[in-house]
Amino acid sequence: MPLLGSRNLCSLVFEDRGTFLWDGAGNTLATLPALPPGPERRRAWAEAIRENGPAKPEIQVLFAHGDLEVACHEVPYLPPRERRDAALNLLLASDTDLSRPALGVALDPDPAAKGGHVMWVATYPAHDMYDAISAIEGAGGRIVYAAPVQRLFLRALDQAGAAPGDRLLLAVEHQQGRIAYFRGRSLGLLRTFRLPEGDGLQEEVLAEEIIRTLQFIKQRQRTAPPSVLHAVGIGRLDPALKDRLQRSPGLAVKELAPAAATFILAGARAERAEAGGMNLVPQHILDTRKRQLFRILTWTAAGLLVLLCLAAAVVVRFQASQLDQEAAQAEANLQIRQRLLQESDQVARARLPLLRLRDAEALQRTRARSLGRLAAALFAAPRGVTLDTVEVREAADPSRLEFLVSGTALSEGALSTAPLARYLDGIQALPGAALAPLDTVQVEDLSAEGAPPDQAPAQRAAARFTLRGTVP
Amino acid sequence: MTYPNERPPQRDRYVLVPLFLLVPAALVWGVVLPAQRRMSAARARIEAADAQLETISHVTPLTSQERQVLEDPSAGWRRRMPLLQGDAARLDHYAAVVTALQSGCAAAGARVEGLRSSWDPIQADFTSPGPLPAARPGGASPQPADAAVGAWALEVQLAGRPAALGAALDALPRLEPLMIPVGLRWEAREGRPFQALVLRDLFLSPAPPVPDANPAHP
Repeated sequence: MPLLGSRNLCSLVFEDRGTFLWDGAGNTLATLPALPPGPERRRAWAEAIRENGPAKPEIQVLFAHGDLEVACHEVPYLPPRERRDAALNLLLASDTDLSRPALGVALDPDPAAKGGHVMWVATYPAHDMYDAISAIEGAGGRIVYAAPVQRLFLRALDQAGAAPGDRLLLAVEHQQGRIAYFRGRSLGLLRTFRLPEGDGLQEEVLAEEIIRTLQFIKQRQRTAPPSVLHAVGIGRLDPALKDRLQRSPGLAVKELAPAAATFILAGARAERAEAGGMNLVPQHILDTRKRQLFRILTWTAAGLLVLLCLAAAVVVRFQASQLDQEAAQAEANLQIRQRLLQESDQVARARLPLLRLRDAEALQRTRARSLGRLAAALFAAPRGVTLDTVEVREAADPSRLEFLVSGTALSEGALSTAPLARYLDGIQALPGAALAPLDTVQVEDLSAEGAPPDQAPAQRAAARFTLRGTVP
Repeated sequence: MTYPNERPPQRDRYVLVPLFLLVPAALVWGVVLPAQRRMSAARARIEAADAQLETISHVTPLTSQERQVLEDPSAGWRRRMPLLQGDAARLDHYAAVVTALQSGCAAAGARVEGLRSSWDPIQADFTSPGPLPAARPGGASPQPADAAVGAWALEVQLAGRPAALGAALDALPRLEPLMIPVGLRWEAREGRPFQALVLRDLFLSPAPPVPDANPAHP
């Protein structure tokens, strides 16, 4: 899509008085040679464009030629795809020469029109269009746009802020003037006339042409003529012209632009930017452009796809390679850890015999101390307590010793259970000692040895006991 | 009339359609799937390596002195829990234990009167009326780390008062064979009391030892 404001943009303007090459500001770069259509003309024009225009120009073709046919029809809304067919049908109905390949269509909404829309249909002869296209391509440029100047006047009026409705436009150029009358969005009239050179003559001709146009509008259109004259390029004329037009036909002159060329180019910019705007470039060229654009997009997409696939392949292979490295690293780490484990195992195995011995020695000391303390407590029987058996062994819990003591406690002054109680207190004083409840303490009389059975028992008693317990 | 830039589109289709189909397919079949297989294999290797990782406990390396002690084949600690292989070694060790017990207890003021034990194949129940000659000196025993610790129990009958039990207990750490006291017996018999210390002697065995039926009570 060419840029609307391209620096290489030029305009090729077809007029009845000749064909001109404008630069982007509307200045005339060259007047193309007036030759009959054909190869000679194409070569001459290509050379003129190449010599006077910029390198690789993008050229828009503006038609202001008498061969241009513009018709406006009041129609209902038509979708963009149907507008061209509708225009061809209208051309068929109007006996227009269908060999004219340059066809432009545009649809404008207009509330005052029947159907609510006005369709512009413009055609132009094939030979001029293809001579222009060949010349442009022969000069190394490309045609970007083509439109009739009438349409550009209307669009430029919209851009300039002219009030909608019926509008009258006067465009003054070098030795030429144009008067356009628009009824709503329709083109009512376009007059082109020469302007003579000489003081006051141009103003005189202009005034006459304007008055003549107003009379034509009154007679043919049967409507009241516009009261405002939109004018472009009248700055260099006598200011008295405005007063004269104000007095005699009663027209208020509103100057829109200092030069007609810039006004037309502004309209061209607006029309090109408009979606569905009129374009006289042959449809097959536009279609080819679309195909070329589609082709470029398709090949770009294909290239991007290839690049993306390559990038994806690189990324995937890189990830796989990274994972391979991680796996190799994990295996290397495993080997290092296994070697460390082996070394620590060797150290532990080297220490184990001595550690095992030291542990056993510690157990020996602990057990000897514990057993010695328990034996001292068990054999420290108080007076009156006689031991029969003492047995100490490992308990079910190997960290404790269990003991079993049986004996007899004799009384002297007190009852025989009192010495036994003191004995139990002594055992219970051992750290961590746990005495089981006594099973039976049998207290009975004690007779003197060898005494007859009928002798009274001695004033003593015996308590037979068996005690159990554990110590750490 | 043909516009100069116009080209038939079929030519592009022959290239673009295969391009759009074959390039992604080639990417999938040629790169993605093999890479996925590679990555799966690598993940399996990583998981396998992670599964074999064990926690390494901190082990202080051996110092030179420690290594010297551990590697000295004639160190005295090697004789405290000797490695017993075969009946001869057992008999030798038994004699060394009994001799050491008698002499050690005598030095501590306790007299060994007799001894009872059951340690296959030695079934012992004897008195000891007098001092025994010194046993054949044992050599330094190897201390393999994977040797199993074995034990056998013996009941040492001591003469005198119960204080002899304490004296014998005090003497135990000084004896070369490592014996752990596990109990005692005392009975007030007619005439003189009976008292005995139950000990467990530790040794090393290359094979897992056959557990005694009741080591504390032979």
